[in-house]
Amino acid sequence: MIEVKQLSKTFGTFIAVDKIDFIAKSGEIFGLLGPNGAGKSTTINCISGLINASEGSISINGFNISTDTIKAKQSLGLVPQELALYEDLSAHENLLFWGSAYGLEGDKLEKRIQQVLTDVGLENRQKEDVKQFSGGMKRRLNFACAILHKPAALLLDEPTVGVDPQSREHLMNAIVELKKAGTAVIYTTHYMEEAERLCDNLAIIDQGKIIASGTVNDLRSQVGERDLITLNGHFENTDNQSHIKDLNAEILEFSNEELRFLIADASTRLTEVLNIVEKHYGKVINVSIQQANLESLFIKLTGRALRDAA
Amino acid sequence: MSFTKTVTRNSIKKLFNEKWQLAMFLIIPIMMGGLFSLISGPGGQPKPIGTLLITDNDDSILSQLLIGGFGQGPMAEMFISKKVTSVDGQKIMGDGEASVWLEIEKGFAQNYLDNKPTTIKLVKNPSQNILPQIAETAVNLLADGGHYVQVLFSNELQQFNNLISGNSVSDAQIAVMSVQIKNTIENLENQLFPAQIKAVKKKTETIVKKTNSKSFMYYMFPGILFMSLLFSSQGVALEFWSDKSQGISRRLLSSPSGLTQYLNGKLIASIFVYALIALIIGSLGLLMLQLPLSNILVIIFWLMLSGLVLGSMMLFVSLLMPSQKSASVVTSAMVFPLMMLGGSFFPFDTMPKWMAAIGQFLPNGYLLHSFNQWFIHDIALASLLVPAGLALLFIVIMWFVNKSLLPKFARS
Repeated sequence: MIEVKQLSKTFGTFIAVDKIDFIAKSGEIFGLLGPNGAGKSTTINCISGLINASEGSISINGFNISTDTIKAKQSLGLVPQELALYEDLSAHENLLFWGSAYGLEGDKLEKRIQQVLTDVGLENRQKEDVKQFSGGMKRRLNFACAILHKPAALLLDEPTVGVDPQSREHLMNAIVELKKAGTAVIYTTHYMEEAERLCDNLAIIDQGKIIASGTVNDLRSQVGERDLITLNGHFENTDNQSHIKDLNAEILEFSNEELRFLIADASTRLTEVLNIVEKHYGKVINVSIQQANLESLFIKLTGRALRDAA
Repeated sequence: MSFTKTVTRNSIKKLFNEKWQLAMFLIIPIMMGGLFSLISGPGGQPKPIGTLLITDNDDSILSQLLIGGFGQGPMAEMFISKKVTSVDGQKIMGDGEASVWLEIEKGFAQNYLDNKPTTIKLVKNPSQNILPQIAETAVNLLADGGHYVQVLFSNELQQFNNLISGNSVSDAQIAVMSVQIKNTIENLENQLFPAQIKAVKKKTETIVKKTNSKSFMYYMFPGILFMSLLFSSQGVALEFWSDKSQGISRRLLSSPSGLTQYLNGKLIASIFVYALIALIIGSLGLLMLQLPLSNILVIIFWLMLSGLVLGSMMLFVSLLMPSQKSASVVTSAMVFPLMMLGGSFFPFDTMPKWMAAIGQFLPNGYLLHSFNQWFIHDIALASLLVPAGLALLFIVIMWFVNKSLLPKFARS
């Protein structure tokens, strides 16, 4: 279990993380969602001991990272956002290196190496130098290095960035297996579909603060069963939003270039919506409909799209 | 401990994977040392080699004695003598393919013994400066010497002339001639070499003999070893940056083993590198200098110790730099002045005194100077104990300093 209480991290006057609390239980995948720069990686770095927290406490498997540092680190696996591999050594040699960094040696280490290589589908490439690997294979090896010592808690910082579909699938399956084995997993991402697929509990983080948390269903319910419609064009008369509100829509943005609102059954009611908009506000150039998901929740909470927010 | 061993093993493996880097540590210093030695010659002095053409039209004992003078001693080291006919000599000189042409006329010996004028023709190559002048000076000296012999030993020469021209000379005459020559030489010796001058000369000869007994290569050799150490210690320091750029050191912060074992592993690997350098260059040097191979043990020990000093120093500077490029530039900028002043390019014994004094205060200069006391100046091995103690103290202090700098370096 990973327990974070009132965690804050400041860099000079800049507050990167602002008094956040959450718990990732054993056998659970806890998702930290947010745009780039929201504070996800800073949170992960504090938990893993890469940087020291300014305030608050962190315990991993019951060990406080500040006072029981060695035991806490022994219980933790970290898959950093950037690769941490020796390019000019083989996959096997990299695993030997990281395994011994966590105190494994001898036959035990060799057995674990073979196991994790199988888990990530690299057992036939273990003698090759890492520099010959594709980006996805490197990501899989990076992941394998973190789980060699069977950590009680695992931190995954954007593990699928730049990963091909085959490698992504390998990683997703391996993470699910770890969860089944009882590992507490913290998973940061800005890919909503990954979070929805994997995470049992989620916290949406923006500008260093948790702005929403709960299960995927809890969070979805905050959006309702409504879809997100985004219209682009040249609009006038935007001070008067009553024509849209009459459609039982929740307006998120209403500017001269973009109208964005949540509405039930968007696809069947699209003609009606377009007629009203063109009649009262102006010409529509582009239309997009997004089904209710975490992305629309993020937009509802912050007024910005996740990918735009960076 | 296991992780330290793994780091050591990985670092050594990486070193052998990067063969060019390893080659650079070894080849550049050997090459530079070799070139310096070639330029300076095996005895330490530059010795140009020229071609001396000789045409001996007289072919007498005396003419052969004269020619023999060019084939012995320092002249033999400067000139390759070649006997030619007058025609060939003229042609070769015309083509500019020799430095000097010496032609001895027919009847040279007889004219000399008859106290008559005689000629030695010397033709110099105008495109060369030094060697023809040396040859001319040598011939002038021989001519002067010949003149003084004629003046001092005219009677003896006359008797010798009679001897070789077939006139009979009795044993008594030969004995008288010998005594006369001996007396004349003794008289001259007292005039030319009074006792005081003789004593000073003896002392000078002793010193010259001692310093000249070691070649320039002998003086260069320790510098070459330290040049290689400087290159490799820079490489060791930059390895930390290489690992950082691959995300290794940052990720290690989250592991229980941490950076201390990592630092220790890297330092042990660096000791292996220094020992390897000492073994390869040291053995080559000892073989070339024909010194006992048992000296290699001292060389390996001293280079391991010195390498750790230099490596710790380079690592300290490297860890303070904001980027890999800065670390590379700054440590490179350190290496060359350290080599120049620290006795690797020019042996301390050939440096101006003020420069040697500065150089011996630099870490590499101090360690090299201490090593030279044993290796070149034959001072007892125990003289290395104090420098070794100081080196160990420096290594320990720098270990604590670098250990405290590593976490910040890894995080940044």
